Amino acid sequence: MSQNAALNALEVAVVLLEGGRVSALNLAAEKLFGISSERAINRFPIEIFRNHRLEKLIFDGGILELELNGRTFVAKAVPNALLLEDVSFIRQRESQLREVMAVLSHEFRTPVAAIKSLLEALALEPPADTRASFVQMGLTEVERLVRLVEDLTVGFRPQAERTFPLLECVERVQRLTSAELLRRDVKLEICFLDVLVRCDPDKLVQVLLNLVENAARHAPNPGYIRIFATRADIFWKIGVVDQGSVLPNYEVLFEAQRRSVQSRGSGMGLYIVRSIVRAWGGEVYGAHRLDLAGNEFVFSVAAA
Amino acid sequence: MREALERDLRTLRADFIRMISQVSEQLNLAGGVLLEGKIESVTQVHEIDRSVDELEIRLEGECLRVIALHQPVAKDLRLVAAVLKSLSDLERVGDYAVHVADDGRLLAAEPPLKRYVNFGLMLTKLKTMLELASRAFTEQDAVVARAVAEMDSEIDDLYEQTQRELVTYMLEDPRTITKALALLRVGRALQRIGDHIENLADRLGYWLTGARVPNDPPEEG
Repeated sequence: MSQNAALNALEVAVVLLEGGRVSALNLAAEKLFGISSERAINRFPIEIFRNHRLEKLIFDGGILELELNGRTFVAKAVPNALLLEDVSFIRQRESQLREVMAVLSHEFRTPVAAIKSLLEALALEPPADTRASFVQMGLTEVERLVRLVEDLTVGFRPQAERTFPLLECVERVQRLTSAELLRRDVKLEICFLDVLVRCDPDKLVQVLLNLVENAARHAPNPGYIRIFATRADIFWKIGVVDQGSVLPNYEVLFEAQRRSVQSRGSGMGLYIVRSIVRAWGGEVYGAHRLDLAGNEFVFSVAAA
Repeated sequence: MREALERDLRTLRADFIRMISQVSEQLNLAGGVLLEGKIESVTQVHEIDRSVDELEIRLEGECLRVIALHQPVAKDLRLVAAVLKSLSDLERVGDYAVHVADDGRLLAAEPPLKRYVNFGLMLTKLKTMLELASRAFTEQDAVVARAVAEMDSEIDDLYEQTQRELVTYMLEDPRTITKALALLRVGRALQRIGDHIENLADRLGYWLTGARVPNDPPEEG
């Protein structure tokens, strides 16, 4: 492979310099600066970069992070060359991680603080009935922590894909949510027959559980939640429909930090749903259904 | 003789691009102050403004020197004239960026009146206009220069929309007047920045085509 071909194969944009002038650009640099190598040759670097910071970097040397064409680049000056690496994706991931960490630290802080206070109260040896009440409250807080840890780990567990009836998962979700649905007087209706899917059943349960719990908590109580399944090419589209009113923006609900004021969840329910569904190649969205007079959250999963 | 003129024009062009780039950075930082509350950038916006002012003076000198020394004609003369006349436009863009940053700092001290969606759009468009103007200049592309000038109407529309919205806020709740007035100032600054970039783009078009407006017959040379 010639030197030029090797340079052109790089994802990093490379600008070569000679005597303070541009001597060559690789393909990535041509794309970044919107100019061909031929047109760039023998011109001042500032005429190609159109950026005084990059020009200064060439003379001073070193590393610089900057925005170019709406993307984030790390520019590095080496003798007679400038290298620019697109780090937008990395920075975006870092920002998402910071977001998630902020949500998590907040979520952990509340139950941990409550458990600490309850243990301190128990150390004072209160009367038996108060002690029992404190223990119960402590257990509730521990449940919250367990749920939070489960939410976190589901995304990291290895895939255990198999073919199975959707009903199997829906019944597990029914069992897991029965106490809450009963308390809220919300009925779960299954509106599909003979649906075979192929995915990790634990992850599907997690998706359905988050959607059903959300519906129970945010739509009117008493009420009902219906689960539909529609075939769409190689996928089944599974819809969880409640009786909620129109929401201003459905897309933002899938972001990590979104959580309604009255929610006691981890604040990551729909974010986790989207992460799982996207990981198996599906899509997920929310919308208001006038014909069903409620909100519908739909995700796709591979048909068997 | 021609070589000496070429060399001087090249230096002139390089300094002009540096000036556009610095103003662009000012605008970017001012946007960060306004939209993301990055008030630590205000000082930097002021610092760059001083550098822009120095460049303006230096470029003015360079232009006059080129005229006096080389008596350029035709397209070369139009280039020098375009740079000379655009200096004050770019300098004003820098000044308005300072205003936006200063008002952004004031606004960041209190909860926002609303989400500044239109300001975000205006800033993005203005940055694009500056980037494209710079490209039109280095690549001598009159079509791109024309496109930049036309983008200004989008800025004007967004400004009008923002103005109406803020007046409604003030009428509905007089307690919002102070904040709304600061926002109006920001909107006005952004709108004026658009006008100055449009002027710059028009002059680039004149340099490249010899025509003052797109349909004018081109001048000779």
